[in-house]
Amino acid sequence: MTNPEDLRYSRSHEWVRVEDNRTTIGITDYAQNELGELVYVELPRVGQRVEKDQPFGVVESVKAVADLYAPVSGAVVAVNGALASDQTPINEDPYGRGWMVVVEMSDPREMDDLMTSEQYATFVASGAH
Amino acid sequence: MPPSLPVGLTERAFAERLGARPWRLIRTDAAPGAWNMGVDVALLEEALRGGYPVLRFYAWEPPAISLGRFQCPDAGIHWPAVRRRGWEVVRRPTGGRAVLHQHELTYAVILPSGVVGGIGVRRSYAVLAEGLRAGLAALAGGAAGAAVCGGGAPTRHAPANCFAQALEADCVLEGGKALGSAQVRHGGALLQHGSLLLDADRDAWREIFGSEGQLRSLREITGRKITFCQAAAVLAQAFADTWHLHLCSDALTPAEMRAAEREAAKWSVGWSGSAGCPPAQ
Repeated sequence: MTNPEDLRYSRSHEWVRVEDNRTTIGITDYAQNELGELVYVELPRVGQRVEKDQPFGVVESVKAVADLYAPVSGAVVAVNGALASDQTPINEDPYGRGWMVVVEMSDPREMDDLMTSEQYATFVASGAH
Repeated sequence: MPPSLPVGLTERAFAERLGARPWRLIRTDAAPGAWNMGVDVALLEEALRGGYPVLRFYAWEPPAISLGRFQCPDAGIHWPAVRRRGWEVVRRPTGGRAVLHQHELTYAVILPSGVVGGIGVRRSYAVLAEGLRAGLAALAGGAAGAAVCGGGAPTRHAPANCFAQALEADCVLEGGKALGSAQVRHGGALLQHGSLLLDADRDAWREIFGSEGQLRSLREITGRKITFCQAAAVLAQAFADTWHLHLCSDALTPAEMRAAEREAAKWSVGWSGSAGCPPAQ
């Protein structure tokens, strides 16, 4: 699966779709593939604040629990609640039905730290992460 | 390097990092399960502050059932059988399914982010399995074939019993699962712990989980009793030899003891049974 060109990507393997000041966030296809089948996801509540590079949720796969890191700071305005009972979309459709949260950005300049799809592909291929 | 989802770095680079710093080798006395989990979490917190890598060995007294971090205990566990025995119930900080901790050795590997380097979960299981496999081979001696570490992938509808199936994180000896492991990553640091079955009370496993699953203890494999101390010594030597580690015998610091006491309360579950899922930590 190729990484959509209209998204931006973090070094911690989250993707970001920007619409006005709102960002939809999920994990990349590379990340879901490396993590394996997810069996649990815990996401923040609507209204909760997330901080860039700080944990905003937790996933479990392969008997391993790992933090999700926020690519931008802001307030959570929507959560994909369906993932609580069925994590399949994260593995099957990471850039679509597998979206996790929508965050109202508090500092749009943080987007400058994110990568384009081309840069992310190079980053992953380099093995520098 | 900022923390990241654990999905990168090569096995070789990770293996090379393992031996770059001395490790603390910590053996704690058999203790209640919640305290044991508290110690592992306290050591993980120390790793977040850049502490040394740790290899810890411990046992559980009284015996206990540990649940995976997000495991719902409602299905697949016969709680009256646990209650009748007076055994404890704790939640692990790591993933996976329930384990009966009795007649076993638990190992824990705690690594700071500088050693972890963001290595993927599956790759880290594979690398750490090299030391575990070497240890199992030494413990089993000529009585068994080679240990195989790394099985299938877990599914969303896995049985409640960790030892019902062998997965990527586990080690199989003579066709049975002798060692089950699980991980948590936090702030770039890693905690992997696992249960090595020295012996097995098969009646208890059957009564509590409805079946014995694929478990196979070292006593069943070798036909002789292997003590906790023997197993710990052999595994430590195998880890040291596999990655050329410098293991320094050590004890918990007073600060780690206090942190473990604080953490212990968070991981005690108590009797849940059909009362619903206890809140995750």
